[in-house]
Amino acid sequence: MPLPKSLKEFFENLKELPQTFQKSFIRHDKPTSDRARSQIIFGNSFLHIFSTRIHRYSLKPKFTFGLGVIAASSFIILIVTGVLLMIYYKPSVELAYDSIKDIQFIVPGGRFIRNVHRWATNVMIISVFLHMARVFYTAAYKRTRQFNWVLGIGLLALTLMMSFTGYLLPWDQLAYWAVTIATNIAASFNELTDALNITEYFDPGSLMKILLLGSKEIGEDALIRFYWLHCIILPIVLVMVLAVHIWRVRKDGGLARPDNIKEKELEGIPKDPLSDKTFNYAPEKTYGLMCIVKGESNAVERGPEQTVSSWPHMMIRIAALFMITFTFICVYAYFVDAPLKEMANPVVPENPAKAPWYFLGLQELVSYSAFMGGVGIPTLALLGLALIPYLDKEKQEIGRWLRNKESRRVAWISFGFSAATVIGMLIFTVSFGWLRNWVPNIPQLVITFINPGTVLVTFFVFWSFYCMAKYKSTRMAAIALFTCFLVAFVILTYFATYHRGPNWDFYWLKSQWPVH
Amino acid sequence: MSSTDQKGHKRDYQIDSENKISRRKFLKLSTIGASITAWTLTMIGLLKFPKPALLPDVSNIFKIGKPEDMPVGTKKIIEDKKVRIVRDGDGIYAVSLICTHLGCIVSKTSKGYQCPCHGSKFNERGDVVAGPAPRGLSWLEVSQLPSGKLVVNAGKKVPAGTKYVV
Amino acid sequence: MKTEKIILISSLILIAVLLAEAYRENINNEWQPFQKLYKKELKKKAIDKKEQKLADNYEIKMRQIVVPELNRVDRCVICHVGIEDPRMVNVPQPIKVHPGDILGDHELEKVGCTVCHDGQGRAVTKKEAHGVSVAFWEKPLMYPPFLESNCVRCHNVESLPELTLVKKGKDLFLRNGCLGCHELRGKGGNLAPELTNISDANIHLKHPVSEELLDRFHHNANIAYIYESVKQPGAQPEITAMPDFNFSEEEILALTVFLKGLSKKEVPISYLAEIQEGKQPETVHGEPLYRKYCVACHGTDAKGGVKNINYIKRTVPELNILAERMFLDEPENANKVSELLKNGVDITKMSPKLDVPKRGRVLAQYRAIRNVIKRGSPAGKADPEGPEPLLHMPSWAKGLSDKDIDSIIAYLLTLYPWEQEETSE
Repeated sequence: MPLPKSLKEFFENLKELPQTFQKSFIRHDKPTSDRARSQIIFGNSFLHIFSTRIHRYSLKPKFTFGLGVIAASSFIILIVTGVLLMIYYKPSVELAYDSIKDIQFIVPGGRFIRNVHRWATNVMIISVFLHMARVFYTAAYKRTRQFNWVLGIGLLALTLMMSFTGYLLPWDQLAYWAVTIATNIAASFNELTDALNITEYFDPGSLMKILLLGSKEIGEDALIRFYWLHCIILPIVLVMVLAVHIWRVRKDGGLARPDNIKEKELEGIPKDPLSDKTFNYAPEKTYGLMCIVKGESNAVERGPEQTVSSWPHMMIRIAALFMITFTFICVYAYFVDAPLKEMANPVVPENPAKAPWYFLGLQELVSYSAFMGGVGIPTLALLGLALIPYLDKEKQEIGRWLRNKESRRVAWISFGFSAATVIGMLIFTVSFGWLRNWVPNIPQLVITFINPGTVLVTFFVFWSFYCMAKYKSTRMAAIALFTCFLVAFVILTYFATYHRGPNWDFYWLKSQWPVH
Repeated sequence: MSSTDQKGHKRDYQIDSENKISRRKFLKLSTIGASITAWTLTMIGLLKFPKPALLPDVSNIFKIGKPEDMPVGTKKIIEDKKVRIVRDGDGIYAVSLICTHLGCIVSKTSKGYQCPCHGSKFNERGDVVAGPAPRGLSWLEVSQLPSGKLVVNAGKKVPAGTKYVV
Repeated sequence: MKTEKIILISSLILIAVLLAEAYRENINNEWQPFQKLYKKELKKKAIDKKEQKLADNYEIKMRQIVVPELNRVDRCVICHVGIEDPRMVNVPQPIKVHPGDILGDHELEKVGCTVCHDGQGRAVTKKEAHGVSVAFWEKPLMYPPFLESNCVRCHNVESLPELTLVKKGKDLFLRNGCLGCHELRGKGGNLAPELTNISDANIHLKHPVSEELLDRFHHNANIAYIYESVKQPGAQPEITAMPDFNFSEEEILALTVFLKGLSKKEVPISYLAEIQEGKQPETVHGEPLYRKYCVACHGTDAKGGVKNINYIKRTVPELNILAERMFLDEPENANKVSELLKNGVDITKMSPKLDVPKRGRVLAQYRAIRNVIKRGSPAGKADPEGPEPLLHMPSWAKGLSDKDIDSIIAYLLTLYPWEQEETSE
């Protein structure tokens, strides 16, 4: 008996299910032209974060060194490993330390994944700093990219905060005392309000500390708050700001690039075979208008100029950078274990109690004045950084590394100036101490405002203004100031890492530290 | 190895350009193969992570004492292990007190066992006589350690009626 | 293409690293060879088919002992697999059996390992588990004679005569006026550091000056520090008021062992030995003891009589006929045995031997009765199909010491109604 028509249809549909499903899932065939590839990128919910075409200059390795991609790659690695570690980590004062020990001892790949998570953090911080330096020195913060630079500074601060909140979670000696210092820095507003005798009425310091700790002491509430910050709030904010940051790069027409690019500069970078062609008839064009970004409008009758299709040229470079980053981190993770000291002991402070390495430069400044070193100068620095694009609006070429001789000179001299003043100041303070050593009863307010940190800042600002006057250029001033700060940051971090021992005394070598 | 050129004549040596193309293809294939392998290994590592090599539970293999301490006729309930140990003329056996319906703990009655949650009733042997329980109470493996101590493995069921002979 | 080469090379390196890590974790780990060795030994030592089967089914896998009450997880048994297996004597470490008889009274599942031996229980390699000169682990494995120091976590020095060094150290401590300057548990002078938790002192703050001591005490910085403080008070700080007591080497060691036992109480009350064993010495003997535990079921004057449903004897048995049960037919013999038991004599091992007629049977019955009291006894059913009798003789091994049981038997022997017997004859 012949089957009823609908039943026959049903079985046919069932038979064709694999193909029909695939066709509904991937709605296009394998692309064979650049236009098809562009369409796929444009139409895919994940891929359309990428532009369909990219300028050849943006693919120049020695231009960007891929630093932004490296930072983003390490962030993705951090998210994946972090989410996995959350399966085992227990955010409780009694259980945290043991849960990490268990991760190391009995979880398959536990020790390795924890190491990857830790070392990816360092890669992300370093690449974020280097990325900022790259953008600065190639003047890519100018013209329409001013706010994006501010977002980038925001991302820098968020990255450091993410790392710091994660630092507390193991609840070992390192973690506990690092947080003690940090929350007391937050409370260091007291240094000012006490000196002005207004703490009774206006006490932002204590408020900040209580908000961070959820209590007066470091304990379970602090741990939960830092866990909350580290796993929920900061990642969400960071991802949102990062999305806007990347979006703005696209809306600004892609990575910054010079107005006049010579072909020689693009040697070795893939070229679109049609780029020199002139189109006589419209249907010959291989590209169409997909979205509106800043830049030169599509020229009539001309080929795609110096852009190439993102797929495959940009995608494969991003993939390669991700691979390099991931491989490097994995190799490091195989050989070096992430640190874990004794369980937190509120009665026995670490000596020296050191912050994570990226905060050690600050800790050196904090050793002179808690408020200035911990709140004042960092705020000034972040503010200063954020304002660069608004204070330096000089029109100049963007997208090249310190093109002219003068700016190079300013950079190198600033490097030397900063190194000399920082090292000199360190030698001075180590040998002679500071104000309180000479004038025992000096009021704290004087020290808050006159200490090695503020003195160095003053030197740098004066030097920067000097350059501005000499070269009649705000860009030169910016180069001078930025370079001074960068160099100072590196030297102070190095100094506090290797030459500060127990009681924050000066030592030439770690082997000289008094044992116990 | 010989090949033919476009006109169909045999050649004694491979043409260089042919080599170049296949080398590039080889590079491309091996790159794809290597990265697929690398990512597969990574995924395997990530997927193995959620199952720890040791679960944090107290072991469900526990000792119940020496045979000498349990003469024939001993019947005792070990509450925190949810098991009833009996020694009769045929041997020692352990009956789980976890109701096979939805996991409540049954209590001992004069005729057998009874579950307070949904009224399942079991006889002395643990077989279901009434109620929604799908099968009888589990009999658990009893064995002996080299030291002589008797040990129950709550993770290992044995057919009802299996008794351990000392 | 350069980019492709980069991807290829980094992929290859990544594959190498991941495989190396997998190898390191799963194949080249420390514990698997030891378990394989144990399995081999099991097969060698199997004497029958049952043991052969057990040996074949022995799983090579990670193991641990979880003791939630002590908040410890001890994975020592990953390598020390034969720790409970009395056959593992002529085998190499770490699969040897635990020496002595300790595991008999200290159930592994209830106690674990580290509460006695210290070390890092959660670790799975020898170095990290033993924690000897492993940075950041403050309680490394204890070596003799310091195991005694950890016994006091649960045991009272007074009630455990095996703790010879701790006892000696404690006596020295109490007789040399240490409490004059040092406070201990709230009592003592305040001229010197408090000693209540000296065993937990942070090794960064309290570290010995002499490196040799570290070698001597297996790198246990805390022990070395304590030893140094006792032996050479002037080691640190150099200016000190603590006199040099000129103790002998043995005395210094005893004091160190005692002091090493002073630490924060870690175990819950239920783990303290007095509570566990229930063997708080009874303060009453004989009749008051009988009244304390037995009279409710066995009746006043042990006349029995409490109803026990479906029990084969219908009521709880009388015990006043114990003398007859023990084949002690004459009052003098019954009283003789009663006196001996009251005075704590072991009538089974006394010398010269117990002088009563039918001594063999008397002693056999005595042992049997003692066993019933210690192990309990089920109540036989009158009607096999009927319900379980509500009462049966419980086991008293945990609650009553041998001395207590003897004193009850001694009392019961005096209850025999000799007069009635005489009148009935």
